[in-house]
Amino acid sequence: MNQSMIKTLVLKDLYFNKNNLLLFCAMGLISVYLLSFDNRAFYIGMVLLISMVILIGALLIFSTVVNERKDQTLTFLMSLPITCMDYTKAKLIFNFTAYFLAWAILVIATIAVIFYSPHLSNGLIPYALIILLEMLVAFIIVLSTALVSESEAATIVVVTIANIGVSLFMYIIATIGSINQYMKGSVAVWNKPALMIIGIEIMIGVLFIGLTLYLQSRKKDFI
Amino acid sequence: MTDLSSNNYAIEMNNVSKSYPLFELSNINLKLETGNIMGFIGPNGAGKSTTIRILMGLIQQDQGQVRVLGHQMPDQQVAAKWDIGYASEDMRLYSKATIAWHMDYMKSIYSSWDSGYAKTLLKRFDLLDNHQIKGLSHGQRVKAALLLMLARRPKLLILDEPTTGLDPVARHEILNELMDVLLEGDRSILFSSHNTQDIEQLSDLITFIDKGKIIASQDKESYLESWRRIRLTINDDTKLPPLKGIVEQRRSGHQAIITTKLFNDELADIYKGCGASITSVENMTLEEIFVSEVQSSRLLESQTTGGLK
Repeated sequence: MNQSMIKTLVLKDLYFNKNNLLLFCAMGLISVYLLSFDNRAFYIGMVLLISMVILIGALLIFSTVVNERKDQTLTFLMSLPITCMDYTKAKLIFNFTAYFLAWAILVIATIAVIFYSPHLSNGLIPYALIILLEMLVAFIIVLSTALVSESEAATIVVVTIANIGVSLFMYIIATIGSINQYMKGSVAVWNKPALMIIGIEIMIGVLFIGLTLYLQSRKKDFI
Repeated sequence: MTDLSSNNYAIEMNNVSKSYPLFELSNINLKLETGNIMGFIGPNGAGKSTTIRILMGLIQQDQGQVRVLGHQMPDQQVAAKWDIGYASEDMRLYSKATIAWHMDYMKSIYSSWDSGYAKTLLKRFDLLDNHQIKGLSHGQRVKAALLLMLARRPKLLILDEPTTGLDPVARHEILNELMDVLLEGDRSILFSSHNTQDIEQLSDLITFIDKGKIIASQDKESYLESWRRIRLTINDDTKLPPLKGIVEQRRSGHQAIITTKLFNDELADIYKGCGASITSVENMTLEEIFVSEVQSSRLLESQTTGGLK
């Protein structure tokens, strides 16, 4: 593996995205702070948090993958001593790590707010984690689409579906009896259905990363 | 695997083909000896960029073998690319970054990066390293891309229409710089363009491509020497023989104009023997040759296709 070049590509993406990442993380933390209030601010915080997690993902993918092709800086990049697979690995590593870190901070903050806020029941924690994990998986699916399809239009379509899917997914999970019945409880219940959904989400994420690497390795034309 | 390599060649393409639904690159054979400059000429859509992308490992050929600096492509593209400087008309730098950032980035990758030479090029190209790319003109962006390529002193330069869209002054400066670069040791250059003036000024070798096929590949001097336009004065009953190498033959009253790609002194005697008198024998510019070569190739192809039908 061309490790030194992959590292160079990752650092380049970090350089161009660090300010946006910091800005979105700050916005995300503000939204988590709003969640701690027992009034309208809670709902504003909820909407803001979901929006921030979605926006960070879209920003990363468009900035590092879609725009690089659209702005023709990909040609410059591919003149460097790298292969299509080195490029793919660098994009997966940077995007996944950057999104995961931002996502993990928001997950920890969300769980902490639920845990310490008297108006929020701890029974919400599994539900919140399932929803936030869905967002992580949706991010991986959008990233895979952008890398494999090389198409801005296809990426926009998948981003849109993923965003609409969050509300739908929230509703579907909330209607599952074995999840719903513990949401207002004072204890987080990690029952079999909850763990199974989390397991399936992780498997889908891993599957899409593997599929991306496989499909990219079979590409004959890259530019 | 058959070993195509000979260290004398910077580029070797043997029977390379690549098919797309609406375009086919067929049976490309191309050799560029180390230290030479090859002008790669073709009309838009002829297959220049596809050929170059195959050389860079960005596109995988369906058939044939490709070696660049002794490395099999695309499998060994990483090893090859360490010594290839590539610039193309569609290449852009990062608009939010400065030239200095790009220079530092290249320096962090290539141990061969020559900071002193980079500074010299900055001055020569009249660029400032603290300028953001988005504030530069097209000519300045091309110069910045060439600077980044040249300052790491690659063994092979692959340039895909780098002067397209440049004003005459910027084009002149860039061509002069490339001429200087070639004087430094055994550097090889493949220079694609549809601007025959650039190619004529720069190249040792000429390769024409049209409709995905190489239609001529030769050293520039002998190639230019082999083409002539012969003007004849003829009588009504003069029959001009169908000689080998005649690309075009036009008659108008008592005048005839012959374009040949295999000129030699005996031609004049043959025409005199037919009752024609030579009015003039003219050299042709590369542009005139290019147009004639493409037209005759297309005519031949349509005749062959027609014949097959």
